[in-house]
Amino acid sequence: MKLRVHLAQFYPKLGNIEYNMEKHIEISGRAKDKADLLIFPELSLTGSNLMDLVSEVALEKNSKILNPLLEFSSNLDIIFGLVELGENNLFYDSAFYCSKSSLKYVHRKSFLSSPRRSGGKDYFSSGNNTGVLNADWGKLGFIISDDALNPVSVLPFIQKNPDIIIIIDNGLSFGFSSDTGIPKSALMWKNLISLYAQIFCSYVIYVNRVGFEDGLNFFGGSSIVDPYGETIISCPYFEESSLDVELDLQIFKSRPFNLSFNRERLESILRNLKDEI
Amino acid sequence: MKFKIPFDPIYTKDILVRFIRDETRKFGIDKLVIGLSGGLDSSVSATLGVDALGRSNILGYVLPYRTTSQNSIDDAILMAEMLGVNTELIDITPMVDAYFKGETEDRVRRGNFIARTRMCVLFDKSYQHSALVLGTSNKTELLLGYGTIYGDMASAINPLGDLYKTQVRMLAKEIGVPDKIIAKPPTADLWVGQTDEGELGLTYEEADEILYRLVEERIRPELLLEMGYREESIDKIVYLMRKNQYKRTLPVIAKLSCRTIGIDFKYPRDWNN
Repeated sequence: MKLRVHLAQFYPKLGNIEYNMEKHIEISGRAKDKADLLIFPELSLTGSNLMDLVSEVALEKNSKILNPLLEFSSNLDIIFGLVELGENNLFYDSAFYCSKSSLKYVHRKSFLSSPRRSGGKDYFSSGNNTGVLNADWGKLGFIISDDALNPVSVLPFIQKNPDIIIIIDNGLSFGFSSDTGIPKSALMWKNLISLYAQIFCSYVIYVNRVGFEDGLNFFGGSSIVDPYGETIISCPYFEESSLDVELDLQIFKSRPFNLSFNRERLESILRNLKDEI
Repeated sequence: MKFKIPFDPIYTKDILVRFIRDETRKFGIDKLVIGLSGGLDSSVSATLGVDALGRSNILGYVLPYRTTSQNSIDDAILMAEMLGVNTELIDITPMVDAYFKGETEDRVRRGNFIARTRMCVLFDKSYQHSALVLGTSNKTELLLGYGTIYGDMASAINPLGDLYKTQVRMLAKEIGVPDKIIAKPPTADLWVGQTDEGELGLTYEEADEILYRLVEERIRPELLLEMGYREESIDKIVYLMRKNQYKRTLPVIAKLSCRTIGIDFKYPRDWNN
């Protein structure tokens, strides 16, 4: 099976849902005839450094503001990021997966304590979903930004074996690297997604944003890595950009490594750990 | 092997040019004003500003006081001509001397007033031209508090605020600031014979290395001492950083209401982008 993916590496306006929704609609319109799956970055409808704006831009699952994207999802699966107003008036850094004109899945970020972001656990509550979804075209693993830095987030993937792991990010530029022109943080992400692709024998799709918010700079560099850990294609750093890629999901019929042994071994480790706790 | 602070001038230039362009234009503004002192920091900021917005959108101001050295004025004009930016020279001596009327010999008081008078001129010019004030304070100065609060530390956007002085020097080479300006001893030039390093009692190389260890690597002072750094320098740097924290924050507000500005009323600066 082939899956046509469109990555939208764009620059949301901080706190301006109206503008950002217009951009989402524009990009969805461009993608609808050439892609099966469209992916936006983390908090793509709201921007990142929201602080007290979190409560003002939060949307419930059934908000009418989301209707244009639900309509586009009749023929195009769409993943986008937003501040979700959840049950008990709690706020979540969430990714919505829309397909066939309805909201199929909500994934909420779990680990919120990154010191480099204003917001985080001061504003958001932790999600606890497994991050695995059975889509029409295969099994999907979700990660939102810094959750990828905590191995607990990817534990479900050991058992579920997603065909594609999707990481949506608001990845910040920081640090000087040995690779001229690229921040240390971007190299760290490049290495991490390559590692995940190899460990889980999955494609990894990494979608990051660009632009500045109060001096914070988001590096972009969205990319797709194959199950061997090699980057198939990537967006430029720091520039608004998009990518169209066709992924061959048949590759999973001849996975480069046999995961079954790893899975059983890890499950036994987890059982032992649980007993010890 | 000698420790070297990590730095990538190409990446840094790229980010800072984008930063200036973005944080100016997102508010519907396309002009910057900058005070040109003839020193390293203002030369680097101005060059980045030109790269970001074009020379016609940068307005330079040379603002000498009567004690300002002719060499500084000449270098400021050299930099302005090299960049091709519109520049005006405004002598601030009458403004400063009208206030003091010769009543103080306290050079720090006078120096602070000079710095704040320049700030007044720059912010007035920014209003006149619908422009933002481009800052020139580097990270070393900000961390050590080596600057005048609401004076040279005041700006709308500051591209140098996360660069140590020695990194600013390396960036200056990358972006073509003349060697003459890079090599001369840094000075605020607030009184005759003043130099930054003479006043601080530290070279920028030593200060930056210790600051980098303390701030970026979070190494504790007692461990720095074991690593061979001078006790006197470590103590002075730690003292200055703590003493001058107030210069890096907004004025403190007593909490009375449910939502107090700076405490639990927190919005991004880019709120109105």
